[in-house]
Amino acid sequence: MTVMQNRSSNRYVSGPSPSGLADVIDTILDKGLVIDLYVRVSLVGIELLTIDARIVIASVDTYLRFANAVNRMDLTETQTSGIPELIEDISGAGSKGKTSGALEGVKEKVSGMFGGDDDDESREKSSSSSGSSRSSGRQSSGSSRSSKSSSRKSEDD
Amino acid sequence: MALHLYGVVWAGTGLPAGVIGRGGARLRLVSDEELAVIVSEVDADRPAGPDDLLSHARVLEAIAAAETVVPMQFGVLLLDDVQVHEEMLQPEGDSLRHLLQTLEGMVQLSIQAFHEEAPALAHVLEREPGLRAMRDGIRAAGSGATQGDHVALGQAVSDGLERLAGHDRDMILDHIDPAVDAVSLSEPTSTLQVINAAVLVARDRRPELDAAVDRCREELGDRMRIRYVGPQPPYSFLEPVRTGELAWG
Repeated sequence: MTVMQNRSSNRYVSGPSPSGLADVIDTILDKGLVIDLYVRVSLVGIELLTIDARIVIASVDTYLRFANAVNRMDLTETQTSGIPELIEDISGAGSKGKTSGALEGVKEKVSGMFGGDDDDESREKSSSSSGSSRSSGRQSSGSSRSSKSSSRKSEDD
Repeated sequence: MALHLYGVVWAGTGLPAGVIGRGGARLRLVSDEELAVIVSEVDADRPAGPDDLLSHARVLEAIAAAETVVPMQFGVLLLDDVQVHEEMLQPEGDSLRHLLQTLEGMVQLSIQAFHEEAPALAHVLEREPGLRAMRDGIRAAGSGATQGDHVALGQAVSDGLERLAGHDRDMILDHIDPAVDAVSLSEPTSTLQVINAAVLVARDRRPELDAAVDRCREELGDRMRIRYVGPQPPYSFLEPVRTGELAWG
């Protein structure tokens, strides 16, 4: 029926990597087939792992880090006034607690994940194209992530 | 004891040798005339941990490497073979056949790209003169610049980074679109994430996708790191097939 991809073929030097836990945790807990009536297994030790797999969420600290970074940049440019003092000034203000608050907004996803009826509220849409025509319709939805990104916005405002 | 459900294949599909299930249990198939559910025995009272998640994923990936498989979400247990027939194969038969037919020969791969902060910010400054001017203004103000000024600059830079991410995301999609049959985009989980995509590709066209990802790395690798993972079963495309959003011909 189908031919297995020869992954050791050296014509394609850099194929995909096998998945790690961080790669599968969202998909296998969030997607995949479910049926109406079943026993759901309980999970231990997953919350921490999920947090580890998450990335820093933007906050005022992030903005200060960015400001600091762009101020340090292009020091060879003609614009030079007051740079050294400024760097010290900003790194003092901006570097502390860079990642504090980064993990907020992560936990509720996991704890809410096993609440049972998780089937309908958060499905990703996909943009799809058929066969050979491959329309370019792209759609970013990721509704399952929207709670997180909106919490990011509200933190910042 | 109970049965852990991994996924559904056509009846008669062989299980890959050397692949074991959760807790080291042997995999087997519960089949009717057309469909087969991949299961293994599991203690229903034992909570699952990270190893169990990986087992579930690895079993499905091993099968997806050569066969079409509809993956179950992790954590679905039924009591015995009879229940698999009554709760799964009989009531879901039509839907399962439709999924297997539509996804025949397809695998999913994940493509995630993350900007490297320093080179990405440098690129943002380079492409946005307005941000450079704002930055220069703050530099010129020296210690006269307030914390608020810095936050405003950082926020503007962050917005610029988001615009760059949009631009780079489109570049990546332009490269991979011709090689794939469908794309499912999730919202990025951080300011630095450029793309979080699952793509559906025919197994025999994988080399084209590999090459497309290579081109992305060549063109954009100086400011981002691209994680390309798979092949996986088509987790992200079950729902679009079910709703009819994803259909061929």
